[in-house]
Amino acid sequence: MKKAVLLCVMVVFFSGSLSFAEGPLKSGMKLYKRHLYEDAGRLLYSYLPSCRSGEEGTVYLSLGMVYLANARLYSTLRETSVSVHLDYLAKLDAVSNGAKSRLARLYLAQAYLEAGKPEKAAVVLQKFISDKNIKPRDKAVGKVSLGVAYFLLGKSKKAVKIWSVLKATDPEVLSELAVAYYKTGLTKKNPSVMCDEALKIAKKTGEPVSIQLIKNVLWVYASTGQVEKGLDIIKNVDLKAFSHEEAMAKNTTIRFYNLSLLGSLSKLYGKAAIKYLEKASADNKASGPALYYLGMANTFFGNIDESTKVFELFVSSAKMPARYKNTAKVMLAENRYLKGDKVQAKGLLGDMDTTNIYMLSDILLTCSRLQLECDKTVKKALDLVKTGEGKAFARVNYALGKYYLQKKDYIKAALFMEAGRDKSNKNKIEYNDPVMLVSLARAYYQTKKFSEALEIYFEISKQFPAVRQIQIAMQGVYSMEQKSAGDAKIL
Amino acid sequence: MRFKIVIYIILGALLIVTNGISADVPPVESVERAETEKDDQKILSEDKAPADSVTVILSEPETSKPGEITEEAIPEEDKFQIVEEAEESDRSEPTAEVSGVRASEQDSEPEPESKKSDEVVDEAKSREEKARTVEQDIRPKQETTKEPKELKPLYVRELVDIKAGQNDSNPVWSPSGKKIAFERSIGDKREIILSGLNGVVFQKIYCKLTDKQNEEMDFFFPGIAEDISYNSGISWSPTEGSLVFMSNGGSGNYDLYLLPQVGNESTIRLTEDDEKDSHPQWSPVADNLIFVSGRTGKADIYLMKLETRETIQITNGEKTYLYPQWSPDGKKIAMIYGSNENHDIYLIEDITKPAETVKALTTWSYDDLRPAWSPDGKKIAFYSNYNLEQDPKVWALFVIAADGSDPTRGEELCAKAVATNVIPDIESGPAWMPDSKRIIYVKNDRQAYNPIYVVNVEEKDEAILKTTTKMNHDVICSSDGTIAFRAQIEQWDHIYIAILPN
Repeated sequence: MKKAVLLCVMVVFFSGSLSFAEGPLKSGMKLYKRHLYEDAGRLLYSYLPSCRSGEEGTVYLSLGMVYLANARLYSTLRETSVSVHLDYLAKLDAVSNGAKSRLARLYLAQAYLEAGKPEKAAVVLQKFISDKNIKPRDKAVGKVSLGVAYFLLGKSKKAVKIWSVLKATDPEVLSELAVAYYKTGLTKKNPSVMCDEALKIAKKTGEPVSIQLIKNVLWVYASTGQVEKGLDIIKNVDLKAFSHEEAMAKNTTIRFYNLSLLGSLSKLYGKAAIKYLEKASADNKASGPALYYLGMANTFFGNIDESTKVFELFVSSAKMPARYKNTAKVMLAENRYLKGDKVQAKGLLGDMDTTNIYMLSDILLTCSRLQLECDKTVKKALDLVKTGEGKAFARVNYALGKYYLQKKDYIKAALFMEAGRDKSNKNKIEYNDPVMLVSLARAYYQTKKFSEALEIYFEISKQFPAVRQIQIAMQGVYSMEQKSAGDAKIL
Repeated sequence: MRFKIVIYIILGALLIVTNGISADVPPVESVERAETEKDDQKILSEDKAPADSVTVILSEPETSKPGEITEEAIPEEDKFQIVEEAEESDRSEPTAEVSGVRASEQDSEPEPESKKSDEVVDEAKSREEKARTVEQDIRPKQETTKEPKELKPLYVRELVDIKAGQNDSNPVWSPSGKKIAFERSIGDKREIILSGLNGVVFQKIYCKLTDKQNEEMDFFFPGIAEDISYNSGISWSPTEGSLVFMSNGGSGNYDLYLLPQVGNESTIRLTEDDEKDSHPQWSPVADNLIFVSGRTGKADIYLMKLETRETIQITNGEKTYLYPQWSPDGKKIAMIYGSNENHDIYLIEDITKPAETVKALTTWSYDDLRPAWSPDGKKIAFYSNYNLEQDPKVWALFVIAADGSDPTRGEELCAKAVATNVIPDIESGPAWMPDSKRIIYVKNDRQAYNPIYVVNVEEKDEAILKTTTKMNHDVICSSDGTIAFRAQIEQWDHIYIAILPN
């Protein structure tokens, strides 16, 4: 009996010490490897203030990597969300019977703005704000958006005039204005202070801060470099919350989600990634890998000169792995193209070693991003993927899928990304790059395979609850096109 | 016995037909050339990471499976018959499918992928012009087109069991010829296999970082630690109890490693420079290494005394030095010097005074590669892309006096060609027979699946070695005359052993 008790004590003791020995840093990076970026980010961010002396550089690097991955994912999600919302909201707005939504116009206009179509946004917003049944706060938000549309159409005076007459005492309107001021360069209005004020007012009410307000302050804090403020806010926010609920006939309601939340999250995580990677690059232990990811983060944000500088440093660093150096070389060529040196850049890409399976995928991904015709590279990749499978081949399949997605050949895109997916765990983010899954879901959506797309989002939502907005919009399109929600899982 | 022979005849014929149909032949010569060019570039740019400790996996001996008929189990006279019968089959089966495959192989004659076609044309033009001006007086004698003699080996057999999914290459005999090391590629990784002449594998070398380092590396560069351990460039010690090789330690850049005791798993990292260290060659008479390093920003030759690890830079040119080779007496070094367009053969006449005694053995506009000393130390063989057609992809085999007494250019040097249209084996070099009179090489003849030839360097008499193997490569010859080479079965490369008659 005594022996059994002793054994139990030993088991408990050793199992406890094992998990302690692993430490938050290692645990965080293991979560990262399984693509659980939200969990990894939370763990590492909370560990940062208490990390061991000498460990800071590695923690910064890990955090930077996690946030960069998150930023890319939210950016891809945002693109999908805009596309699906435009379809969904246009269908809602087109309903002519008694079930017509009033708020659909506001969200449709905002979707147009996100899609870079201010002219269409302005038309819809004018209709929206002329509706007498709209609540004053929603109308004010609509006016702020209309101002943004005018500004983007080159009518800045008209924009300022609309904004100047708004009484921004409501925190949502105030934060909406703060974003508008920042986007249009009216920083003298001090958008950051406006957001602080909006949060203060909202908290005074004692009710949870609305997601509408959250997405605005996250955007402004990220833009003004106050990433910790933003990261602290999202610790306790329900990212799957809706921003409006509209009661319709026949005891039904429509919930609206603000799609710019995804853009705000992408911006916040991207800026946080740059901040932490810059810190990591100053640390001797972490500087090598930090340079690589910092180069990627800068390209992601369009800081091409900075990205080029950092990638050149990385490539010249002797101890870094050749495979990642090759990727950096492809990115340097991409940067040249983005800087306008197109002929030189194409020449560089054309001279690269496409017998190297990783480099081939990198070149193909660059072709997709730059929307280049890369027939020779595509042909090589097509020949190659017939010859084998495994991680390296999965990457080529993914690159081909991305290439065809950008070419709007959705059937081929789905075909190759399916081939690159883990066969046994096909929708699990732990086994598949979530960006690939989102791209595949996009191809499914475009080919009206709604169930398959929603299955993917169901899995993704377990870690990234903000995708709820895509699920709802896609479900909406599905039900309106198929007259039935089918068996797709959302919740 | 007759029954066994019949089975072997059928199997042999099937093998030939299968190979003929499925051979997806890589553009060997252009790959080699591209590899050489890449070597020059990569030597300065390849990366490496620290690998403080490495592990060597000691393998279970690879033996034939119970019940399997092994080549050793067959009496010598039967082996000859198998070879002869297989040749009969080969000759008698020019099937339509085989012809078709051959035609498509020709269609896919390679271009170096790293160069655009117009660049290649420009290069060819400039080479032609250069050749016209510099080598105007060269008009080599017309080659005779007589059929080569045929030479039947005493036997040809695979060294170890043939398995799909792996490619074996670059065999290196131990000095006595009793052991052989070679490289095995499985996917992206490459390990070194040590085997006896009987094909029993007694050690595998696969350098990896420690688990802790691997784990950290894999966090920050996912996928790196698990798939790119690359080990190659073997050189045996004179006592053949040790060997040196190049490895990336499972990550990062390439360094030199020592296996101090063959059969024992521990290895020692010899170099830790940020730039690539490669091509180690163990002195035949002392515990000294020569190797190539890019540590000064360009490739140069270094000498390391193994006992003290003292390392001395022995060349310092504006261009790159590559492929150093000790003379058999361990006093001189042959190597190549130049750039991608033109390498020449160079010699250090006295290793104790390298700077004072370095001299060029060739100085013309053609690319000369991979010098190999004759066993008696009197001659040096090398590959050159000199040819009448001025085609930089066509290679010839040259032999010159090792003391530098032969002309370094012009018609006199042209006359030193002993074989034309050869495949340059960059890693192994021309393979001298122990008599210092004959060289084994691979003919660039795709119609005949790149057969192995023997050439007598004095008479320039050639004979084709009827091995029945296809897409031969990496030919080397041991001190007792046993030949090892790589050949292809379906798409996989395997090491074969052959012995010449007499």
